[in-house]
Amino acid sequence: MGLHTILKKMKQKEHEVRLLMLGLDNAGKTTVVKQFCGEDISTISPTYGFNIKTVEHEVDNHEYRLNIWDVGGQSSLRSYWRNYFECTDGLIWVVDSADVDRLRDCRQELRKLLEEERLAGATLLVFANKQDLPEALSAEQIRDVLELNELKTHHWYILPCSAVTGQNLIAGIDWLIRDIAARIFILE
Amino acid sequence: MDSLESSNTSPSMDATPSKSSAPARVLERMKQRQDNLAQQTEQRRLEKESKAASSESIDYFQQTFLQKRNALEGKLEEAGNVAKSELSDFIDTLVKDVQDMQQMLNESSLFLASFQLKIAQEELNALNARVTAKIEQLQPKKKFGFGRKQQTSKENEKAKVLKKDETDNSKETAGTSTPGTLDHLLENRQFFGFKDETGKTLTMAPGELENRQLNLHNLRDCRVVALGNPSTIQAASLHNCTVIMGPISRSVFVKDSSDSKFIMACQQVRIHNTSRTCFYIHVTSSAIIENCLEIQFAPYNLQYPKLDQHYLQSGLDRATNRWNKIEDFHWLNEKEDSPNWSIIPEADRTSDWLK
Repeated sequence: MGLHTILKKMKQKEHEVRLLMLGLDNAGKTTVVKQFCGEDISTISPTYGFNIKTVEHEVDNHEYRLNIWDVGGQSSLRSYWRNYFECTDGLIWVVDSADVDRLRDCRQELRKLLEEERLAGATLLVFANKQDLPEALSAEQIRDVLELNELKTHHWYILPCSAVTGQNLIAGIDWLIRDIAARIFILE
Repeated sequence: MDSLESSNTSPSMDATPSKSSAPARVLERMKQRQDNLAQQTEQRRLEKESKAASSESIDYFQQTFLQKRNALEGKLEEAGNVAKSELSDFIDTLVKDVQDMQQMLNESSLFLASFQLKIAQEELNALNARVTAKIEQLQPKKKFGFGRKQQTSKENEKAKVLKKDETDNSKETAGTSTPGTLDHLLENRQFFGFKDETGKTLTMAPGELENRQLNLHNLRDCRVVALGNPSTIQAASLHNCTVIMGPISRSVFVKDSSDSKFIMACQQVRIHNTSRTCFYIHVTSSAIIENCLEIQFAPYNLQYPKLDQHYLQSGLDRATNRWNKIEDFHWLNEKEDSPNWSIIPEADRTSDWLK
């Protein structure tokens, strides 16, 4: 992020944060966003293209305007992910913790993303989703599979969550906002 | 303005050049200098103050970081004395300690100077490397590791001979192989459902299915009957199978299958890399196909005694069924319909699934 962008962000009265939700298809990205925004999750279709959601969210007595970009995870859509990288402050990587078969794919796609120059400054939040299913792997197991401990290039954090019950969604996004705020809106 | 200011600017500046054109400029310069000085002093004062405030947190960080580092180093020294049965837990604590420190460092990056941050990160990296090395040293080698694949065939022979001993070893210390590695997870996964079966009828009772993900993996010529209300379904590599399901609360994911029939009600359906397969579905949001050929759809028409009850449990909206609103993610042409799917003509539909 350039100096100019930082200055521009500091000038804004209400802080705008751009979040990008990615992950394999069927991970629950849209459900995470809708549940976070308090919307009905029973009518969600597989995402074709992307959804943008703007939502006001308060963290530590600061009001933030979150622009959440939720991009479809189908393999035919993954090549378009890079169109959404620009100006991303935070990356939310959603993992289907019950889909053990595709964890290898999941790790590979995440690695590719983290090598992207345009995502270099972004904070990474990993949601180990679907914890409501008994066979879901724990957040620690997902962390190890994704080899997050090796990750030195990004600030990161992983949380177990359930988009269906809402478990930990707010906690995760609060952490993300705090980390981003600490980097970008420093001169408060 | 210049004249007003001039009286109090320069008691010591008697050597003002006498040239009459210059005084205004000189005075201005002098005033500027004084302003600058005042500004600098103010800035220094502010800097000092903020340093005092942040030095507390920096001190706190450095102390805590050092303590944690010492504690972890102590643990590493003691690693040899840990009982085998506690090894796995011990390793977990090592990893967690490093992670805690990383977390703390991340959180402190706000007030640390960049060189402090760099030094701390380097220390942490070194520590992490030591921990990783220690874990490798402590852990008995896995039966099948990545490392083995890189060995030459000669070494492979050796490995085969060695393997027997290792299996004995690993029995003794079962559970201590790296819990996080993907291979380990794939081998020891908690698998709920059916896999690797041919020519069988596989049934699952309603009670077993509740809130579960039913997995169907690598089945051929099978008939799966699961009249209950699971949360989700994952089906992969099913060939010439019939899958008869009660209402599923959320999503269904079918891939790499062919010549099969699925009868199910759910919220979402994703079908990948599948061909010549029929879906009798009730889907409340929508079904998508990707990289599929000859997929056919019809409305869900299953009847069984507890269907109403299972529908109720599933929370699915019975009034909404988008069984014929299929999205083909591999067909971007909006003007023409996708040739990869079609609707089963009414006359050709089957309904006596449970006979």
